[in-house]
Amino acid sequence: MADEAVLEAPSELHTMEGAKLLLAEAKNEVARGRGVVVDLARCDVIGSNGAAALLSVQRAVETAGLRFEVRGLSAAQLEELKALPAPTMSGEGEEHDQSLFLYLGTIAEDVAAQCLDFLSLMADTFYWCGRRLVGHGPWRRGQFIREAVAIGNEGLPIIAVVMLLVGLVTAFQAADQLRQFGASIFLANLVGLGVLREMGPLITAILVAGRSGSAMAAELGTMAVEEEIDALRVMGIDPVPFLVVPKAYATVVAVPSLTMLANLFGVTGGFIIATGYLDIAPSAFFAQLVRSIGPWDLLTGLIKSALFATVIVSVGCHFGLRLRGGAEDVGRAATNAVVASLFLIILVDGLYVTLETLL
Amino acid sequence: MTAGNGGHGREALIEAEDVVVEFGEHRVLNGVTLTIHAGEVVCMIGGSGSGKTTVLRTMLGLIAPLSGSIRVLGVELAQADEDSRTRVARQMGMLFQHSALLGGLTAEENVALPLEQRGDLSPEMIRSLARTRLAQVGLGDAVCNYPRELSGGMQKRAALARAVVNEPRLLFCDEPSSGLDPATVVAIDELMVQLRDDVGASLVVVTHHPASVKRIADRLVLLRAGRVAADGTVDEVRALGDPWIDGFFSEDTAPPARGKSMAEALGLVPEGREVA
Repeated sequence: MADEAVLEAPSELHTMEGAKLLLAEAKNEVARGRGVVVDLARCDVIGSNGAAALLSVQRAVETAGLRFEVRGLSAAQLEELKALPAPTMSGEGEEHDQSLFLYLGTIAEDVAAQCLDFLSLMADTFYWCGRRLVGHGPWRRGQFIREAVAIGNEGLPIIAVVMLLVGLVTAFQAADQLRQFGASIFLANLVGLGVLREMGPLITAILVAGRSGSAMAAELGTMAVEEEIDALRVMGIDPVPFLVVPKAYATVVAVPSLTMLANLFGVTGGFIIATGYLDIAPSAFFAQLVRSIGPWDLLTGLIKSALFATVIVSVGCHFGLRLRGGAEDVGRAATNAVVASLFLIILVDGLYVTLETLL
Repeated sequence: MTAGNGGHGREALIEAEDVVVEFGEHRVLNGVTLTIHAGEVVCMIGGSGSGKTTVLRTMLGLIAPLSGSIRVLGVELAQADEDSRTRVARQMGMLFQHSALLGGLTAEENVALPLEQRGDLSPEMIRSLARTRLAQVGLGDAVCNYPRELSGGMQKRAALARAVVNEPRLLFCDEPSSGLDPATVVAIDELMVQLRDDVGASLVVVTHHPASVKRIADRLVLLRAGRVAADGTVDEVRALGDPWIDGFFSEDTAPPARGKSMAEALGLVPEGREVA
């Protein structure tokens, strides 16, 4: 027939090269608008490579609306093809739905479900933490201590170094400006207020979110993947008081404690620049520092750090507990936990400052 | 294709009726109706993706069905409040496929967990019971080991001890012999039946091991495409002549899932032959 090409399948059709050759020839014919008849008379063995090539040729030809045929098939070859399972081709080549509204709707639905889950977990955590405060509910003291040590002790060195550098850099940047106006002594005000009210709580929270928030998500996520969370539920154990509450208490205790130490290191950084670069007497620096800051400045930083701690533990546990899937999702949960924590920490900080200013 | 039912006359511990479960748009259980009676060992077999594990998880209350009803120990799970669910959960034990021991706890602490939830046992009693169960499964010397320090077989044993320590009325096992050597498989099978006899629980076991089925099953349930395709004693189910079941018992390994052949896909033979 004029609009059909007869392709003799190569004798080495069972090899990858033979399969590629047949498919290339068939595609050429399809490009010329001709149907394809594959003659298998020359090959002894088809093999899985050959069968895959035949299937690909069939799809290419039929997708173009042309005729496909196999001829010269021996009884042995037919038996071989009967024994080979055909792959499922659905999904291949199909385009995902490009509807913008559907795409946005799916995202909105997912975000709403996440928010609902998150709020539900927060409510559960507050309920069980409250019950624990009045002496009810399970209490895993050992777990609380282990978590507090992991967040506090192990996080302290990096927080100390970072805050010292933040204090140094902030003071260094401001030093020349203040000196121009003869206001070098006010470096104590800048460092004191800046560190206690903002830098200390914020940088501590960011570092704890990166270190411990991600670790919480990864730990709980791994437990979910390994069916440990399900095992707890099967034993009639609620994962929130068992797993989340010790982490919540540990974080709410450790983060403000770390913040106080972070404040100390931040102010020390400013002190080093003030005395070493601006030649301010140590006693004058401390006198100015004490004059410029009040108890409320320290307290406001600590309140913020407790709020940040609540965000870190809620977000970390939320992403861990809601994880479904495999090992690769654990890494994604940890990353998402850090990103969401950082966003919420900044948001809470902004809201707090706005409310404090307005009230 | 339903054979006889070996549980007539015994108390029904689980009654699942027309249970449908969907994950997204994928229907995993498509109207499962199944009853588990007191004291029997029910083995559940079927190809990958046939819904075996989903049936177990639905019976445990870990998955909420889209429709249908599940009564476990007389409690309708869909309508049960948290207290009732917890009460039912404490009468069930589960041996997970990957053991699911809590990594931060020792073998003894893992086994003690269900006992601690009871609230009516002293710490000494809990310790003693947990150690006794661990000794019973051959882990008397590993009570202080963390799961990472135990081999796969030892983890399975510890998980089995945890599953039965609270003397559950229902014990579920999801592929208890996966990833274990043949000797350990036999040991785990014997342990399950021994512990079942000891605590008097009904056993629901998902397995791919024909030898395990022959060794322990009172009743055999075949799941196919989210439905119960066969249900009866092992002999009754084997007598049905289903090609998948014949393949399951004729080989030491389960037969591969079969679908359309290449010959059918290429249009060389007509489609629609009987496939498992």
